[in-house]
Amino acid sequence: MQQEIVRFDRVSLNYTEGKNILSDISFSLLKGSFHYLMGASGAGKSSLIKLIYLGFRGYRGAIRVFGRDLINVHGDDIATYRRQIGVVFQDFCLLEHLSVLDNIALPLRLKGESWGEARAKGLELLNWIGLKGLGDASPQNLSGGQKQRLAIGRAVINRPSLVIADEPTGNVDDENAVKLLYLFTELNKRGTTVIFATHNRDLVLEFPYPALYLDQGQLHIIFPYNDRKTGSNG
Amino acid sequence: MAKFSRMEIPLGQGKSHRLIPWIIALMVYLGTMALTGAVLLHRMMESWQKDFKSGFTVELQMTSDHPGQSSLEGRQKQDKLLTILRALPGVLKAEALTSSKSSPTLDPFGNDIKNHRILIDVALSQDAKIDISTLEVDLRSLFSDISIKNHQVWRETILNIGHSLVGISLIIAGSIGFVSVITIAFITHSGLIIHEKVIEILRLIGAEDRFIAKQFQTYSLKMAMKGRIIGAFLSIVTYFTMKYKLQTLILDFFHPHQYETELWFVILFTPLFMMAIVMLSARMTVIFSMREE
Repeated sequence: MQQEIVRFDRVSLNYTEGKNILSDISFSLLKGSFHYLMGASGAGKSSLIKLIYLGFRGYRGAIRVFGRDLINVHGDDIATYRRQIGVVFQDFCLLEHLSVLDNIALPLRLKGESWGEARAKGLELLNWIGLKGLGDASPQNLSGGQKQRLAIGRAVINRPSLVIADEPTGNVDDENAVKLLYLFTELNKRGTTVIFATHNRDLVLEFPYPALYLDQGQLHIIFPYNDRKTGSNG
Repeated sequence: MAKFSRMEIPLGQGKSHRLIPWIIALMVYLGTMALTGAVLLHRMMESWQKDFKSGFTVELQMTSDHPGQSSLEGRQKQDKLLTILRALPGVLKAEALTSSKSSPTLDPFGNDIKNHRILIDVALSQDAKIDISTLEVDLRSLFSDISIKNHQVWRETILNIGHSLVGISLIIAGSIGFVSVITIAFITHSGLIIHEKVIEILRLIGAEDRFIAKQFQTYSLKMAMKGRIIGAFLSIVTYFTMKYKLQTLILDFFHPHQYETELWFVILFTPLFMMAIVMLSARMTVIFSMREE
């Protein structure tokens, strides 16, 4: 039996009284799976992601990640927990006072590795994300796509077992979006569980993975690739 | 190649941060001076207390109109008085004062020593229990124009003033330490607000509170190192100036060479102590601020 990495049990979330962002949603993701997270802007994709990496806690129901109920994760445990997850933020969240290489190496520094060790590992990763030769550059001088690659590099350097990407292709053209998606599929082939949030309906047709589709606070599991073949739409 | 910070949080980039070493230097200097002053004063008081054994002074007026008769009578009275005083329990020494013998510690009396009166200085042991008022009454029955000046009274007053000054110096030193803690806490808190976005990102990717705190602690240590050097240098200069000035006063009870080691210990140790305070304040401010969130 495959291990569950993420489990939502009747989770509801509302920022203001009245309107529910998420209404009583339940789902589980198995280890090594790849899921798109889809929905229109404002459907609650980022909110769901925030709940997973503990960016927000005001929810009802139960969320278990790596078999642990998130309600019990407190204090320094939060940092340890977050280091197990690689998050690619929608707005990159890069540190502009650090070089590209130091940004990538940052999670290793947080784990206690020296700058030397962390940078050496970061250099290996630069090639994979297609930023070879840009290690000493400032993130400010990178294009949107390069910044996204840098954010991906930083998210995966720790070899997390779960990677969550919040609209990682939102700022790039279609060609680069496919290339970025390809990086995530590569990660998934190595056993990493991936949640890839996007509102790009064409992009999800590139690889045959299921999607968590959010609509008016409800979550549906759809199969865009298969639906394309049958002509239906989720 | 662009030059980048090696600190995860870019502390010290604002212009106001340049002032931090100077603020710490001032705190180090004031703290060192207050503690040095307290030690110096305490030791001076101790030394003076040890050297000053005079318990009381007996003054006998000579009323005779004939100088020759006065001299002989005076000597007889003086001998008799000395015998009585030396026989008292707890009296270490009783001797007649002349101008040349007058102790600098009894200067106010020494200046007045003239032939028409006899002055006898009586030194007492620490445990001597002599009731001066009773003694004065007893002696008056033998010598009509006798009076006793009890040095214990003004000695106690001076000691009390001295000890109060030592206490005040220590309170000032403590206050400087307290103000340093508050100042560093305020600076650190400002840093937390200025770098809120960076800190938030670091926390989102797994930075522990103690990692953030270490960043501030390391930065504060660097600032404190600079401040310590400046503060210690100013303290040393002030110490040598003070030492020279006090020596020119030629005070009997001022022997700086006797407690030089202690003073140097204070001058060199206080800046180190202040560094520790600065470091700890920065760390604790971050830890408490993070916990409040």
